[in-house]
Amino acid sequence: MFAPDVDGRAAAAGPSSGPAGPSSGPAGPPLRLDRLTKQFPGRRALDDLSLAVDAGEIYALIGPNGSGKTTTVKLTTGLYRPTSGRVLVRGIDAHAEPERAKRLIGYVPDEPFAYDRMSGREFLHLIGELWGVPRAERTCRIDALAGHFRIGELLDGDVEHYSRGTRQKLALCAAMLHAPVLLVIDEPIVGLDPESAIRTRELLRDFAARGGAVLLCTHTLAFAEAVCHRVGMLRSGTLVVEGDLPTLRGKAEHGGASLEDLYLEFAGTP
Amino acid sequence: MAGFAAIFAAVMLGEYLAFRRGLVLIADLGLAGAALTLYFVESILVLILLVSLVSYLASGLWIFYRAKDTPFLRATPLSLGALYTLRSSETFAVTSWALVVVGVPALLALGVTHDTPPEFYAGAVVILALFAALIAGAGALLTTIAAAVLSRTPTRLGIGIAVAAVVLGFVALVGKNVVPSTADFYAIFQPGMANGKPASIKFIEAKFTLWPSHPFAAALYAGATGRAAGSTASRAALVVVPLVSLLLAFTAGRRLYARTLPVVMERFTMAPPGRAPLAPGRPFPRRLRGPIGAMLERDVVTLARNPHELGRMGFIAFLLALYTAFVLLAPLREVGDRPHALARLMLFNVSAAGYFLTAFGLRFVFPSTSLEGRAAWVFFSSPISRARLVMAKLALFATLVTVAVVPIALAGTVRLVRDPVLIAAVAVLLLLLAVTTASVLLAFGTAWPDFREANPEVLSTSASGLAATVVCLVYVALVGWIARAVVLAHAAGDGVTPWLVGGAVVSAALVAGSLALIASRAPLLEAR
Repeated sequence: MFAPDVDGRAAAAGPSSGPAGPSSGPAGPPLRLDRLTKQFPGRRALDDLSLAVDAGEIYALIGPNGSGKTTTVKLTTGLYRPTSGRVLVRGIDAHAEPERAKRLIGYVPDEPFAYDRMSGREFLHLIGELWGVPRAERTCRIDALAGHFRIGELLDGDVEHYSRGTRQKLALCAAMLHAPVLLVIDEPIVGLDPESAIRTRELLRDFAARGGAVLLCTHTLAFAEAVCHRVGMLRSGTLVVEGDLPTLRGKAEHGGASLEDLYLEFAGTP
Repeated sequence: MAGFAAIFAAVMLGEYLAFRRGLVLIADLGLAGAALTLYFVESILVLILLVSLVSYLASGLWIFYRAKDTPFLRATPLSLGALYTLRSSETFAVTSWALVVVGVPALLALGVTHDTPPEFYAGAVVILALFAALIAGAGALLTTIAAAVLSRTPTRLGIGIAVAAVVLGFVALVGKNVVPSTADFYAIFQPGMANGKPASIKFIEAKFTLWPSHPFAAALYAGATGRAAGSTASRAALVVVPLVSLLLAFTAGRRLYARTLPVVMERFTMAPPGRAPLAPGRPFPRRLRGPIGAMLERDVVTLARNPHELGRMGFIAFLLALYTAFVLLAPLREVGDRPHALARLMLFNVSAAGYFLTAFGLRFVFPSTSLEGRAAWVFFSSPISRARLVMAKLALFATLVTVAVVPIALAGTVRLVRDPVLIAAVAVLLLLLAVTTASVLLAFGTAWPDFREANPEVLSTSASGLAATVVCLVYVALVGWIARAVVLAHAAGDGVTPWLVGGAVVSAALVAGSLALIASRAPLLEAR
């Protein structure tokens, strides 16, 4: 339905990336976090986090409030600078070459605000222009994405007046517009009606099936259980456990455990 | 807060010294002194009245109808009447600065120059309070009338035409009635000079008699000089006019507010489905190309669609128009052959241009990075170079403020001097002012952004806004002083180039420092 740019052409062709050659082209997994640490004044938000998300994989980060999920997302998307460690997107260091790395990422923030006093269509065109999607191509993709989320009729209205759910759908459209290699989503279905949540689930599955990678963080454990291939559990900035559900059940020595049970086991209050 | 209080105090002290010096010179004129003193008091009060009312209208339309907490307050048991009183008080509090910043130094200078007893100051406080009541009532009434009219004609073109008509109307009014022309000076001086009698104040009273500020000006003049001024009717108007103003505000204004607030709230806050779409089906950007072009066009488009911001811009444009009217209408050319007077006027001209550049910049350039606001994630997660975007913003804003201010300041210069060397020298100084103030304000706003604050007025009164203001005002004063030195050097037959080179070096240093500040504090979203 909405295929990722699995060849990483966007990064290689980006205006700031210089001439693309075989050695400079993107390589490696869509996302690798390598010993990532983030220290805020008086508080360590993330401590020595390492994980990788492979092509075709949906990876969920779950954990209590303040465990470091959103910090991880913001470090991955270049909104925060790591205290130490590296973020590698297809082998590109996201903080050494931010513009190349960001070309490969689609991002949906936890609070999906868009620019007020612009229409949703103008906002999506702006996003397309920022990511270098040609006008004719993005016009088609905007129509297709808006059709998928059934927001076509709202697209010419002022974003300022969108509901929380419509903003979420708009942010999902914006993240998918440039056919990213990696989708980074902070709370994918907050504010969405049940039908839209189902459509989002289908979209992510389809995106991964076509070779895309997804890193999401959520408190909606049922959603994570339904779509994710692997789950990482964070507590106090530390990754306490990760793996697919059978692996996590094995570690918990609880064969029939749901993700909710596993969450309470590993990430819940000790 | 203390920093801004210090700046205000410094500005008021500077105004006091300037007013005092001007009033002493006027008093020294002997026969015409009394008449010119009345002209001074009338002009100052008209200026305060107009600035306060336009400022009230520009802020009031937002505070009365679009303040963020209005939906919340409407959901509480607070009555509409109480909400109207609250909004009126809030708007008056933030727009009555002209009364304090201009009125107090002017009255102090008037009192000290005429060696008045302490009773004058006590009386002046009462008169200023009555004048403030007139402004508060008229401002609230005007705001509700304007909102009622605008809610019926909500097109941008209609609003733009209405604002332009109001500004031009004010300028015509002020130009005709307040700014003294050569003919006015003949009318003041000729009869008195011919007969050896003091100039009559009747001509001035007649000129200002229809202004609501006239009774207050006449009373202040009479109190300071001990001379008779104003009729019995104008003395009665001192109390009656403020009372009528407040009465109308709390009857007609309150009713209009109760009628228009729900309409405006539904239109702007609740956004019914029938609302006209923004540029339906059209792609974006429409004028510029590329990522940087798209971000700049977004800045311009969102500003053009923001009535509150346009209102503030209109207010600064109004002040600029007042200044322009003064420069174009006042008989300034006649001082052109007196180098020291010309040098002082050039200092004023260049400093005024610098003030307007700083005011525009503080309101529109300084907050531009912070106003990315809750949507800042778009910019920070996008694959565009922050350095390139900041440089493009600097070019855009420097061009905009130059276009807005420099031609008017240059027109003032051409009114003062014909010498092409002086005109060219001042043009260079004005361009340096525009680029440098835009650089400094953008640098401070980008280095210390606040993405949580959406109100540009609050942003520009932050610590970094204060620091940027101080840097700009010191720099403006320096360039004003250089303009003065250029005039004096040219009159003495010396070259003006060393002064211009000095100005360019200081400006280049400030621009380089600004760019270094931006580079060293490359903004990330964290901890903002």
